Amino acid sequence: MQNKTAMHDLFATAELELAQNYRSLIDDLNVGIAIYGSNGHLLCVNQSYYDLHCISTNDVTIGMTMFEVIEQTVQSKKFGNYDASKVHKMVKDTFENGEAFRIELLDKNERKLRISRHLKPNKMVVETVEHLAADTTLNNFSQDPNLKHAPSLTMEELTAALNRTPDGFGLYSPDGQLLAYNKNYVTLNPDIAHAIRIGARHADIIAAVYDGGKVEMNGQTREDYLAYAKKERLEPSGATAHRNADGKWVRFSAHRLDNGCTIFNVADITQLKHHELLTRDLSQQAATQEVQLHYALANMSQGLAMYNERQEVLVWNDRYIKMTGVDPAIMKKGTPRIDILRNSIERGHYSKEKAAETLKRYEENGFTSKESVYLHHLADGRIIEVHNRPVSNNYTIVTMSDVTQREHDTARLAKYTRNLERSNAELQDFAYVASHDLQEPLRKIEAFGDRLAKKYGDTLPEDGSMYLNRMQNASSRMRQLINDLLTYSRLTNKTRPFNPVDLNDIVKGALSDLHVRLEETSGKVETKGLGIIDGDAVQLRQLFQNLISNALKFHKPDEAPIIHVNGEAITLEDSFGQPIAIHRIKVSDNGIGFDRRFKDQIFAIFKRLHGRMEYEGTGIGLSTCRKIVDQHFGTIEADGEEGVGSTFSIDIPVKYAGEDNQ
Amino acid sequence: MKEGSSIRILIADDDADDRMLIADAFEEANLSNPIDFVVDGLDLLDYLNRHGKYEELKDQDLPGIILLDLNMPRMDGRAALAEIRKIPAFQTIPIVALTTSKSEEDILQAYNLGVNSFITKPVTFDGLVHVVRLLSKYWIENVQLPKTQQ
Repeated sequence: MQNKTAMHDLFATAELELAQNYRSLIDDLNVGIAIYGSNGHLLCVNQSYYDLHCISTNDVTIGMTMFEVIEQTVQSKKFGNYDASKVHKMVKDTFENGEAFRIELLDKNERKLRISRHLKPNKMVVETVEHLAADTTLNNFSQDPNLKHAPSLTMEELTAALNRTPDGFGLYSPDGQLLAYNKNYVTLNPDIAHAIRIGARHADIIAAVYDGGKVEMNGQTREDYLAYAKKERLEPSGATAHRNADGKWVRFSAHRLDNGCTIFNVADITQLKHHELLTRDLSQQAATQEVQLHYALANMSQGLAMYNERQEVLVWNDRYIKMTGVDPAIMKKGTPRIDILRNSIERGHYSKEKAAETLKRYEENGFTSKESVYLHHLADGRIIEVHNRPVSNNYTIVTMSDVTQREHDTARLAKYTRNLERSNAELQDFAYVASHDLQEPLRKIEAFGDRLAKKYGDTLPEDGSMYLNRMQNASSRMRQLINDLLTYSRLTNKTRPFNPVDLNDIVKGALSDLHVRLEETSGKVETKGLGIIDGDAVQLRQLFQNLISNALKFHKPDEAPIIHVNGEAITLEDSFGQPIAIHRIKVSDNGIGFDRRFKDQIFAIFKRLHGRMEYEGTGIGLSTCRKIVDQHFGTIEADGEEGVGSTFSIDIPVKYAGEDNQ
Repeated sequence: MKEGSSIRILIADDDADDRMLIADAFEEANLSNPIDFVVDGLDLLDYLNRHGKYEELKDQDLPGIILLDLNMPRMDGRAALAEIRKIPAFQTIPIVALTTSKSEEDILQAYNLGVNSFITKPVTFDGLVHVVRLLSKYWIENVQLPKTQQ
């Protein structure tokens, strides 16, 4: 039979729950402690026990019998001879007859050890081992392990022996005079040390305690306290504990002897008290944490519940009840999750279309223990996102969030994006189809104009020829417009995969298309530092052709155009702050330039800065340039000064990062 | 083999303007070959097979060359081409696609279906005259073809 008493609980708790913190305190004691259960098996042992016995933790383990432990511990001691049968008897005496055992002996390093064993009222045995100071002389009687009962001792001999115990003892005569006391009786009562002397009256000592005011009296009067102390002396009722002014916790107990004397025992229980306080602190902390947790749960904007491995609810917050719409009366610890769902559906919380389907799914498949996220559509139109997260022990944490606004926003955004994409595509198609289909009638206008000019040009009056001429000029301009528009709209209609493209080749190709214009204007184009970038060769050629032909077109009347096309490798930061390799190309000329005010408008479609009579053009060329640069995920900027020249600066990423990053 | 100048030219084009311009171009190029017109693929097949309103042409020689527009209503040039090349009697008639299209796809498809040349309609009338001259020089004056049989 094993009584679950305080000591056992304390250590069992220490072992099981407070493990590290608690354990380290016990281990810090410089007294070795071993505790045996009533069945004689070792329940608990601290580090000092091993250290003082000079044994390793493998020699003595939890669960060994006291006999086995003693066998192990004597190995390291100086003994004349070891008698197993005597040890057996001693163990038996300790457990069955409650014989206290105390021995002082030398370990193999000649250090003095005191080992004592006491049977506690709960039938457990506590064994302590402590190291004695080197100057302590061992009494004759304790040097002989065979000697269990000392012969009659003088009071002095007894006092000398008691001086070596850690406890304090005070022996009072039946009429309350202090007959004898040991050193620690004073040490452990420092507040009344002055009152302790042979022959002092117990009542005076107690009065000194009261008058010292160091001990908590809980409102007792002096008379009450003195009466209580007297009663304790004559009829001891148990132990009391208090804290001395020096901070030590002491426990008093009194025993009435057969001859009417009373012996008081004072024990230093500071360590034990610390453990007790620590335990209380920890449990208070745990309680505080629970309150805080509860408060946090109650104030979450999400619903939260935890289910065990059988999908029975363990913990939930108010928001969870509101979001599931469940009857609060059925929410009890252990309510199955399916019952909660059924109840919510019966109460009409879920939208009708989804409820039956949802219930069927769970009735057939059960609740998954995998991580999952899904939406609940409620009857009132709200949308709840449910997140199942598996945690340890196959428990599931379920959180519910109201995502109505988010879902509506997402749907609206998706619809908006779809519309935008469609109208964009329609616009592209329109530009392409319109310009393509406009070509047909225009071709006829030009052809019949040609016929008219050829066949009857000679016979037309002068103004007739002039009209015809203007008509033909207009149609030729329209052809240019349509061609440019087609080029522009094809940029987005046709996307080819990007390949590494050498810009030197690209510029060379563009120049070969422009050689007539170069000759006409005596223009020069110089290139420097052009590199290789990922891109669409056809589009890039168009880009340089447009920019160079622009520069050739807008040259100063009295000056041959000189155009520089310079490349430069630079590093910029992308929108996430990551470095990105860029090729910067500058196309600059010595032409007529333009007013800086127009540096942005210049790229707008059909935007012209000059009259058609001065410079031909459709106003689409630079729009096309910008579109090509856009398609290459780059930027283009124009700068210029009237009468000095223009510079177009283009930044294009060297490597195409793929559709996802754009 | 007939004299080049007497070779009959068949123009298949749904666009009346284009039919007129092509005929004008022949005139401008001083080519006096007889020219017949059809307006779509079905019309073209009727003409070649002497069906319907073309029954009375039974005794007339088949055309020495067909200028074929690809985009026409009812039956387009591609479908007509496929049909014509199925009939042995018509297999040797040179067919030149003369169309506004210049897409790679159209060009490849036309050759696969059996055109002998693919020419994009020139933008200007002078261009058209130039093309007609080239066609005449090549297909009418120089190329030797097997005699077609009715």
